[in-house]
Order: sequence, then C-alpha cells, then structure tokens
Amino acid sequence: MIQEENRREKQELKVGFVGNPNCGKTTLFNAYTGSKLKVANWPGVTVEKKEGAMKYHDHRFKLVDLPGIYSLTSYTMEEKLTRQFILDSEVDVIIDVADASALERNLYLTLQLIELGKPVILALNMMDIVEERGMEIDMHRLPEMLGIPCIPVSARKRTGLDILMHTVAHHKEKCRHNCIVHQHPNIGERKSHHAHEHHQELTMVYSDEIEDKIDILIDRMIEVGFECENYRWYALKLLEHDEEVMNLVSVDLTGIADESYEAEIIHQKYDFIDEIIEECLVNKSKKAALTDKVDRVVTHRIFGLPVFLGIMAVVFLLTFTVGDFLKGYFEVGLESFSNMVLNGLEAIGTSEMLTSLLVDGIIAGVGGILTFLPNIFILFLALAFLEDSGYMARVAYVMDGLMGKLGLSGRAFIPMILGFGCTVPAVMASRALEDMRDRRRTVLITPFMSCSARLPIYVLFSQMFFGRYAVLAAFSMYVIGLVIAVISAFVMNKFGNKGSMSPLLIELPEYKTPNKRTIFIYVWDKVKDYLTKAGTTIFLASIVIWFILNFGPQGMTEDMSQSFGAIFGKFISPILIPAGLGLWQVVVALISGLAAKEVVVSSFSVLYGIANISSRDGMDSLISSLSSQNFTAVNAYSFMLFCLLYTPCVATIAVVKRELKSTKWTIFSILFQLSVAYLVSVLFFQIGSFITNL
Amino acid sequence: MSMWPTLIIVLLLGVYSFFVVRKRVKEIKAGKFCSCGCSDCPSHCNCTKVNDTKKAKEKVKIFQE
Repeated sequence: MIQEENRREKQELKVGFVGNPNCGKTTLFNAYTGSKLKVANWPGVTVEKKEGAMKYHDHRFKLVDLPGIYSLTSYTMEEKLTRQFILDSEVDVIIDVADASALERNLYLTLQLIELGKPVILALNMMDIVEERGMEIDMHRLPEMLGIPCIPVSARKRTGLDILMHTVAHHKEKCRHNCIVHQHPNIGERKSHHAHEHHQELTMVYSDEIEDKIDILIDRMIEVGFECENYRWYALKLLEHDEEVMNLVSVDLTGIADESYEAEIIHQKYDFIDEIIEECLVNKSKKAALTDKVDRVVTHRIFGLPVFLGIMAVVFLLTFTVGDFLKGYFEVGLESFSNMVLNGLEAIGTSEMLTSLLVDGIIAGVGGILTFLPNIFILFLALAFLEDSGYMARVAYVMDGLMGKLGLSGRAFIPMILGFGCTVPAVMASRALEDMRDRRRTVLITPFMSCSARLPIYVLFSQMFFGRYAVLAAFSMYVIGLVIAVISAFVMNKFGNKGSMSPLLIELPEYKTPNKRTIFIYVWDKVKDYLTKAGTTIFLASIVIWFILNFGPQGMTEDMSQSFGAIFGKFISPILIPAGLGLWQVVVALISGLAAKEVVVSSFSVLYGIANISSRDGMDSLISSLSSQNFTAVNAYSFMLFCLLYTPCVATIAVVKRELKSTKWTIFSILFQLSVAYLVSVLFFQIGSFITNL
Repeated sequence: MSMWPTLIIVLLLGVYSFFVVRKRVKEIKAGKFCSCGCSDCPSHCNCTKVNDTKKAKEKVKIFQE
C-alpha cells in the first residue's frame, strides 16, 4: 500500500490542455498553474508554448497549454504542433476544454481527440453562461455517447476545478468502458459483410464503406511493417489524404482511397454531433435572429466596408462632441492649477528658471496632454462597446476580401485593427502570420493605422483650422491611413514576392449587450495607461524639450530662436518647405513625436509658451502665432498627414526590429514611412496651395 | 532670496525623473518597449517575462498541498 502510494506520488502526469480558441482554455490553465508558469516558444516556430506544474493530493502534474485549434488537420502550424505533441506521447491525459455554451462547434475537435487514442477528458467550460441562457446539458447521456468523462467547470468562477483534476488523476489509463456504438445507416444499397461488433469500444463509427476501408488499410499498414499505437487513426488520415501521414506511411492506396474521403468523414462526424446535441442539449439556445439580421448588412460584400466607415465616423463624432464638452472642465482645472503653481512659486521665491521649467515646461507639456483625456476616454469607450458587442470580429471578416485581393493573408488585418489603439501590440500581433513575407508587409503597413496617441494632434489642429469641419478633418486621417496602408500593400504585392494566402479562420460571436463591468475595466485601464504615460514619458519629454528650447550655445536664452532646438530645427526645416512644414518649430515638434506622438502637442505648448493649449484662448494664441508665420489650413492638414504617416514612436521601432529580426528591414521601414509621409504631404500641400491660390 | 525652495523642488524633480527613467529601463530590459498598459493587450503573452509574472501573480488559487 505504501509502495503504491509512493509510486503514485513519484509518477508525474503530463496533461495537455486542448481546445478551440476563446473557449477559456488558458483561463482554466492559469487557474491551475498560478505563478508557476513558464512561457516559451515551440522549437523552431513562433507559436507560444506554456508549461506549468502543480500538485493535487499525491499527484504531480506537468501541464501544457497547447495552441487554440478548431481541428487536428495539418493545415496550420498550431494544428500540426498539437497533433504531433500528442502522437509523440508527450502527454498522458488530454483535457479537451470546450465552450459548453457552443457545444456543437467544439465537439468536432473532441471527436478527433478521442480518435487519437489517448485518454481524453471533456471539460465543459463556461457552464455559468449555459445556466444564464437557460440551457441544460444532460450530464448522464453526454459521457455515454462520447465514451469519456465530461466534467462541468467554470474557469472564470473557479468551479469544478478540483473534480477535473481528480478525474485526470484517475483517468490516465486508456478508457475501456462500454460506449454506445453509433451506427450509421448504410449509404445506398450496398451492404457490407463487415461485422462491427468489435467497434464496441469506439465512440465514432463511420459508415460501412469507410469502416471496410479502414480495416483494409490497417491490414496493409501491418503488412508493410509500419508500427504504431493507433492504426485506426492512421488509416483515417490516409483516407483523408493527410499529407503528413501519406509521407510517413508508404501504403498503396490504389483501389481503396483513390480520392480523398475527408469531406465524407467530416460529414459523418457532424451527423453524430447533431445526434449528440439532439439528445444531450436541453433548451438549446437558438442563434439570435438579430445576429443573423445584423450580419446580413455589416458583413455584406458591398455594404460591409461603408458600414464600418460609417460606424467609425460616429465614433469620431462622439469623440469630438462629447469629448469637447468634458474637456472644458479639464481646461478650467489646468488654468487654475497653473496659476496656483505660478503664484505659489513666486511667493516662495524660486528662481525664474525653475518657475519657467515647471510652468512653461512641465505643466504646459503634461497638462496640455491631460486636457485631451476626455477625448481619449470617449474614443476608448466607443471602441470597447464595439469590441464587446461582437462587431469588431466582423471588421476583420469584411476586410478579408480586400486583403486577399492585395495579396495579403486575411489574418493580416487583425494586427492592423489593433493599430487603432497602439501600434506596438499591433506589430507584435503580426507574429500570428506564418509566412515571413506576409509578416514583413504587415509590419510595414500597420503603423499607417492611426494610433490613439495621434488623436490629440488631430483634435487640436482640426479644431484650430477647420471649425465646424473639424470632425471630418480628423476622421479623414483615419480613412487616409487605411487607404495608404491598402495602396502600400498593393504596391508591395505587385512588385515584391507574393506571400502565402493562408485563409482567415475567425469566430464571429453572437452580438450581445456589452457588459458594463468589462467596459468599465477596459476604459479604466486605458485611462490609467494614458495618465501613466503623461506622468512618465511625456513628463520627461517636456523637460527635455524645455531644455533644448531654453538653452543654446550661449547658455540660457530668452530668445527661443537662439536655442539648440531652434538651431537644429532650422537646419532641417528647408527639407520640409515643399510640404508646407518649413518652420523650425514644426520640425522640433515632429522630432519630439518620436518619443511619443502625444509629445507633439506638448511641444507646441512649450514652443509657443501656451499653458493651456487646448482651451479656446490657447488655440487662438497658437493660431495667431502660426498664422503670423504663414501657416494656414492647408499647412495644418499637411502637418496632420505627416504626423499620420511618418516614423512611429521609438517603442514601435524597437518592436519592429525585434519582430523582423533585421536591422536592414527596420531601417527600411523607417525610411519607407518617412518617404510616404513626405511624398503625401508634399503632394497635398502643392495641390492644396495651387487650388486655394486660384 | 533663499535658494532652499529652488533646491528642494529641483531635488524632488530629479528624484522623480530618476525613478521614471529607472522604471523604463527595467521595462525595456525585460522586453516591454511601449508605454501602453498590458492588461488587455492581446500581445501581452508575446511581450515580456515581467508582464507574465505580473499576470500570473493576479491568479487566484494554486492547487497545492
């Protein structure tokens, strides 16, 4: 007894977590592993591998979180990895995590996993959602039909986790219990002489024709000396003309599988799944009719894109109108604070230089950015609403067709959507593209999607120069960014090496009322990030800008045009004259934008000594200063275009280098974006000036 | 005019700037280059050990004896 216990304790069980994407697999995995988590990449590929360890009573487990997959075909890297990992006996027990509220979709993978021949336990996750929807799953019938243990869990609410591990600990032997044999009706008139009684242990039994072929192929594999643990699985793969298996097993398929039976096998699996759903799912929630109706419009081949642009236009309208209303309070607050600090510093007798640094540098720079917080808040509130409602998944689907025509994988648009928030995670998300050429092209064009950091620039300049067309002017930046990205992708496809065309496989969730808590958490995180950025990066950048604008070769200078910043700006500015940006102040602002795009606005505050730049007075003062230097609306739009398209912030450059693993391509991307920005700004300014001078 | 208020404020600014720079350098060394938050970043798993450790620490229960 003691020996048995000791043996059990010493033996470490390897458990693999498999499941569809978004089924809560990683949440469940993390619930077990906690901080004992190791993250790496699978050897030779960029797919992430997570391993963890845990103890449950006397049992030690090594847990592996395998990539989210929909099936075990060999089309994608994730599928190949998972399949090979299981076949190589790297796992003792498989936990198949399924979204219980979408069981029909998840059971296909379950059946494939069972066919692999390893012990499988079905973890029915999201049971809390099943209960919310009034659905019920027959927990007696389901294990009977599948022939494996089925454990209801909720990773989010942490229920069922103990019993799941208990089941894993006691299920490591291959299951040998009585399953209900699933009989297919014979197709056509042909009757097989093949007896199916020995399929008592199988969950999935196919039609007589397929079963006959499986038996013949098994015999042929044994004849040629191929050895494996699961002949049936290999026979099925040969019938499906699975490329990897056909290369591995040299069996003559003539007369047995001259054509692929993949479609037939899939059909029969789904027939069985329909039976399971029919028998086991009570009060099945019908797909919302509303979802179908809405999708007919938003994913329409022709109307889908205009609908997307229309929705984004509404988002910007709200960002400007509601955001501006709230911004007024921030401006008043900033004004009061600035005056209070100024009076306070004068009262305690601080030096003029320090007073200037604090008031004209830090408060003007950081405060100027903080007044845009309401606009940022409204933007992210709207984006959170769209994301949580389920709409954003449709955008990727809609853009897939266009991306395909440009020679980009449909999956390339998903990183680009992320670019509306921040370019850094958007560039990192390009890792999901397996083909390096696709990835490179996506990394090159993603920065053209205007990130949220550029919003303060658009808000300020469009309000200053475009009056009641301010919303249109700002919105046009996003549209132009998208257009330039599309054109760049087209040109690269035309003249460069064509990338692979891996299809887009994306889940379109049902539309739902956004969850208040989810939206609150998302928006609060974004607000916190914005405030943190203001207090760190922008704070430091404001100090540096103040220094370079108040110190020159002769030391501290009253005249900013003699400062280091001015000297450098005047050296560069002639290059930008054709783009209407030939002011040294503009050059300084653009260069400071490399730290973070919001710093462009902070720079103008410091450059023109305006404490509250987004207030009406502040903007009037800035317009007056700029107009005296012949900076008009055409120049302003050219400036916004340049800010949209030129080199992104240094953080993005660093991530581009890391993702492309090439200094050459990183430099190319910087020069590429600068060139596009310059070209577009020059074109616009020249044509715009010509038209306005007519 | 007393220089003490100036010196104190400069010292405070210096200390704060030092901590900000130190924090950024630490993040960059750990692989996080951006100034964005990580909580809902879809690429946070591809980013840095720092963030994985932070996220892992937020997990509630570890099944251990």
